[in-house]
Amino acid sequence: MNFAESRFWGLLAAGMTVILLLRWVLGTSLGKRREDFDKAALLSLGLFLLICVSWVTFLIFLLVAVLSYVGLQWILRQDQRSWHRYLFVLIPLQLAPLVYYKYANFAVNQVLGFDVPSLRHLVIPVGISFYSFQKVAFVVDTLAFKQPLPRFLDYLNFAGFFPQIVAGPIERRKDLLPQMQGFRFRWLPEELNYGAERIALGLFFKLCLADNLAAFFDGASTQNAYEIWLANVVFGFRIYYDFAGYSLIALGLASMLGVRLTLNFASPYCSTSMIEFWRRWHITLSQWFRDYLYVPLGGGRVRWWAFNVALVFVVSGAWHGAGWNFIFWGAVHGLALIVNRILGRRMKLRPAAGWMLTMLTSFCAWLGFYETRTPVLAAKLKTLLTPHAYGGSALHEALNNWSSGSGFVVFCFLVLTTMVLVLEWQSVARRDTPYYYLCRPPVLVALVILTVILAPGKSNGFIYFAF
Amino acid sequence: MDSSTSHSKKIPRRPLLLLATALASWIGCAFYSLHFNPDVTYYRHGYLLKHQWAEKMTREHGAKTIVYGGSSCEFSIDGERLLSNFSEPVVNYGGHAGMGAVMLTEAALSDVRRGDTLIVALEPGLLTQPLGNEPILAAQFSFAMHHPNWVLHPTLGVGRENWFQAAASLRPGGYLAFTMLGKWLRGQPSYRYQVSDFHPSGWAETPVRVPMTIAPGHGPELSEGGRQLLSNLSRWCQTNGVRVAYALPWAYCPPNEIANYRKLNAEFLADIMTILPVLRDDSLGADPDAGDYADTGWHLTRTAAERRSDEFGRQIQKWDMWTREKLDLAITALPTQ
Repeated sequence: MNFAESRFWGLLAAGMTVILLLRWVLGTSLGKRREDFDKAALLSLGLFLLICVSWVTFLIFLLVAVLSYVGLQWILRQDQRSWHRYLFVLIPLQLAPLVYYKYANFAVNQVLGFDVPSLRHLVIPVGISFYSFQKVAFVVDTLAFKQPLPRFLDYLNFAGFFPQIVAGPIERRKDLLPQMQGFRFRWLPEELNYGAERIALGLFFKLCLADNLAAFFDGASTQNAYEIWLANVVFGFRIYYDFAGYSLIALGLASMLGVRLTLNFASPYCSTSMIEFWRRWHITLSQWFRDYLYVPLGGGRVRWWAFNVALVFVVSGAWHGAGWNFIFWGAVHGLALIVNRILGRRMKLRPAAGWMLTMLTSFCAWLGFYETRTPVLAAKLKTLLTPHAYGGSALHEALNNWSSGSGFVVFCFLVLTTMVLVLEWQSVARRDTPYYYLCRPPVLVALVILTVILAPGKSNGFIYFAF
Repeated sequence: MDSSTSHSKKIPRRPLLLLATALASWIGCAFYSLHFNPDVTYYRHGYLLKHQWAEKMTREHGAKTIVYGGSSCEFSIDGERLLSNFSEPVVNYGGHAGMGAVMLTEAALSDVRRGDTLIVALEPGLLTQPLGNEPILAAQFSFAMHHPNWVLHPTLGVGRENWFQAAASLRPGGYLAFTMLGKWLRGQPSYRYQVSDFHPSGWAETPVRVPMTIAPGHGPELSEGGRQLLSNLSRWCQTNGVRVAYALPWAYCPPNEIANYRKLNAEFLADIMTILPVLRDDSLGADPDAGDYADTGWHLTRTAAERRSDEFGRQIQKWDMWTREKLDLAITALPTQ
């Protein structure tokens, strides 16, 4: 279910055509069952698209979905006082496929030192991290707020809503389930307009910015601090526009179907503190960790709040992948948040200084995302932290490298990215609405033209499909 | 809610505006790509020359030899010299490596006839990298040559694209767009080469000189796609009565890296030999003389191209092929660096 591939749009168009034809042929004979028909059609479309990704993806999804529903149904029949005990059984079961696919190789071959070749070639089923978390949240919310078990059809539509199933946003029961319970194919102009804007912006982010930046990303240097910083910046922009692009397309697609999803990114590179950064970056995952890990641990109201923050970010790092590099990424962010919280109470930074510090920290931490080889990661980090690595000779060498080959092309894309970031900043500063100016019709028209002209021939998968 | 209330009669203008913009932009991009893209314009001219030379060779000599590959081939094999010095009717079907192995092969096959000899001189990198996601230049070139079947229905069945993918490739892309912008800002010509660089047999030479610094690199073995392409080509040649072999292109390599590069090439050739015979060239594709190269480490100067053409003429006349034993001996004789 790669929104950047023509195959996805072809399959979606084919599926929608069949649904609309059936709807038209059956017409008034459906009567009051039209709503059920629409729900069943939406579910069939989602499952069909999932099968087109791969049978394994489909079957694992179905396993986790059915297990969660049946498990919850069983718990609800038990004595209310013992629910929490059963939760400790159901949640590990829900997460078991995720743990197996994501961490079996790391744990067995790398940590324990065994040699099981079959584990090395495990392919993570697309979306498993996202839908597993969504289903855990569903089970917890249902029990915590004593909500009734929905109809299986509504539940499956909630769990397998195709625009968001493979890479989020991770939706909550209270936000998505009621929309699924009242789902109908409605073609409301304002929703279609809103959806088209988000899809166009998402495609620009993905195809024009992220895919081009990916083509020119060069993370080879370990000795030159300037080149490592450039790699961090290029990767930082790439991953943001890749994931934010995907999330916007998901939002747009859902909107066209009359469903509102949560905004997953809100211009995070406009943040003036790390706390703000995490309110704007991958919002639904941050909220998930806050509500289902940080708060149960005691949150920020206990004396050991710093430990809670550190633990949440280390777990968040591990969620992204099994490797020390992701732990490093999580640890840097955790530490930065702790420092931000302690110092933020005592000293007030100017917004520009806060922004600079936030960007320095987040772009430095991206090293842990793209550099999976631990010794190379350590070497690069050492270079970044060594003052004499910033000498004139290193700068001269970096400028020489950038002036040859595709340096000018990279420069142009960074200029384009900066212009987009300025519009994002203005949207946040003046309107308090992320991407407001980017979604204005004249700007969108320009972005569509730029996408058509500049999108590279080779499409890349979305980075977060691997998580 | 009945069906009448679930649909609005109001027309959603935004999706229509954005779709119309995308369509109009694509039409403009497609027009530019087919008529003004300097790569496409240059190679369209070159391939018309190659085609004319191929027809002339068939007409006058019957069986001919077609040698094809990326630009390393285009700048190294002089067909007229081979005709006058060796009486070998040779067509140089070298093109832009950026078109990809599939496109270069399809274009060359269009002029191959029963009884011909086909020499594959694709750069190793084109065969060791994964195939399947064909470069946009491939579709642009095939459409500009009025041969969309080269990408839509390739003879060898490898790298097939659907209509939508091919049509979506008729755009410049970021690299070309910003490179052109850079050239315009610096007052440079839009393309380094000119159509006058072509000779009638398809060989090209350039007066541009750039200092050589680095050795080329590639994987040691064929990619899955590369293997499939060569296997299908071998079968096609067998079926159509065409003699086929592989010839390793020459590339500049600094003297201190030459043994390693030759070893890498030898490993690559050993892999190729499981599918196609390989013309024996004792240099193993590595040339330490920077003076032999014009503007890249693959583009030979006129003098070096003459030497390369003479070597090539002798190789195809004798049909001198590497054997596994000879290749192993050559590898063993290489010094360790």
